[in-house]
Amino acid sequence: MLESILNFLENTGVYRLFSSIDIGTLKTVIMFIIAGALIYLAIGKKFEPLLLLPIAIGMLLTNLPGAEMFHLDLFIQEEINYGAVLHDGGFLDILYLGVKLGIYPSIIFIGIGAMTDFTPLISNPKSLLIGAGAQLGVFFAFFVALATGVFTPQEAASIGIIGGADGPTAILVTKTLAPTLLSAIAIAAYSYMALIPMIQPPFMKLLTTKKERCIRMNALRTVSKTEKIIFPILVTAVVGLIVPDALPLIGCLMFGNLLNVCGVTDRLSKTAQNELINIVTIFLGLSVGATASADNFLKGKTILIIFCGLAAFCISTVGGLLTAKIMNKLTGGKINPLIGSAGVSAVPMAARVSQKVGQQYDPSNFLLMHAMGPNVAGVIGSAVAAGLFLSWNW
Amino acid sequence: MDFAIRTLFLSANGMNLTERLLYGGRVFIIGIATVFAVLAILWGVISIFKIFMYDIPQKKARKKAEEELSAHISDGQSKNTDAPVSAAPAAVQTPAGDSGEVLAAVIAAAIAAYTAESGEAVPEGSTLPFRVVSYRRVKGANGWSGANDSQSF
Repeated sequence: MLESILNFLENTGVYRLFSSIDIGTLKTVIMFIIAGALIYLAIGKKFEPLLLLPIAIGMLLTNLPGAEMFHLDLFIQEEINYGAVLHDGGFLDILYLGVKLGIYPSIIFIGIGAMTDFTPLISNPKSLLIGAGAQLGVFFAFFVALATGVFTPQEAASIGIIGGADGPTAILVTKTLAPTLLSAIAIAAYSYMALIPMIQPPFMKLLTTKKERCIRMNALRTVSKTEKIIFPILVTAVVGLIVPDALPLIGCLMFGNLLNVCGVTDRLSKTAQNELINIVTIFLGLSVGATASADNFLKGKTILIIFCGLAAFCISTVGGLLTAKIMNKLTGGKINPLIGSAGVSAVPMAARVSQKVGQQYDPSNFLLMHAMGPNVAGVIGSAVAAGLFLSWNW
Repeated sequence: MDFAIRTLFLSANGMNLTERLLYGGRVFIIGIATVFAVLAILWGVISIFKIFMYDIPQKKARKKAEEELSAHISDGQSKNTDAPVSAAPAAVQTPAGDSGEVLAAVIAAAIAAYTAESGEAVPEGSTLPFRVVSYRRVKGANGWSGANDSQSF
């Protein structure tokens, strides 16, 4: 009887955690604190709660001693033994297969595509250039991360893609090029996306004049249903022919959009927009959080990733703003440069920030729909950048 | 100290600082150029597809509307010969641009239909009983009013 009780006590997490107090114990406690902070940010501050909350819970589950729910070592080998994953793996190992095989980010892109209205982009295709300019931070952060000498080129590319401000894209690139950095990069990407209303406005005000901020843009033309149907097919074909590695993202994004605009697949479109994306978001968040084990997360590299990610975000914002400024000059003052910051993906938060800052200077100026063009162009741009990194001969 | 020096000059990938900067610079330039190129191609393709999917059908629709309008006016003229009218709406902005022309045509059609029904005649030397010189939107009707007040049609 006593032996059974002792046996039970020895198997408790409390015993495992405090039986030998060392640096490992301290790291685990720190991870609990970080998970708690993320839960607070998600629930208390509403910072990207749909993803930060599952990530935080995944982080908590993976760090509970004795739970054995996730084994990162099963996935960082050159050749993954899927039989071993299914046989020996825990619940989160099984869920992580969806990340490792690149399934979740693509499915999420189907949902995003179904939710996205590309009308502003079709109406004003020049916006694509702003979306391209806003990828500057991706390559800048890559350059900086590589220059530090701490990261391999593949890791630097995964860090750079944080500047694309697109969670699924960052996850897809990182799971392929630098799986051990997945949790740090995903958390950095989603945290900065949540902080866009704080990060972007200072740059927007710094790089534009008051006169530019008050520019009113011409009304967008109407877009026919045929145009809306042809657009996703066209983008898939063009991007697929030039950057085939971007197809898992672009192809799914455009497929989701086609479901929405074609008018004959309402049920599929609604499923993609709701149940499908919600279910996969839960799986993705939990499994990404699971990679944040104390040993894997609490490294000097994580701090550098946080800084490089912030730099990527800032430079992407600057790149979008400068591109919009140049286009404003070239069009004779017809483009409000504030829509440039929306070129970082983060749909539709970045576009809302453009609208909000614009209205601070002219309350009757409505920039939201104009900013949605660069915003969705940024999604395509970051997918192209991701495709480039994935196809690069490292 | 030794670690810091090694990190600075020799990375995890075995490249020295110069090699890392050159390699990073190469990826930077090729990367941003590729993204711009792909999106610029997309811009071009969408612009071409706009010509076929929007501009040409729009032109045809406008032509058809004008023809129908003329036919409608002719009918109205044959019915009424009295009471010449000078129905020029209040003018503030000058119509210009594609969407302005369409809107002007719509306004013209609406006025023509109304005047034809009410029996107003066409002034001598004009194909229409009036001319839309310019028009102005009434402010404050709804949220759209603030969207583009300064736009010239």
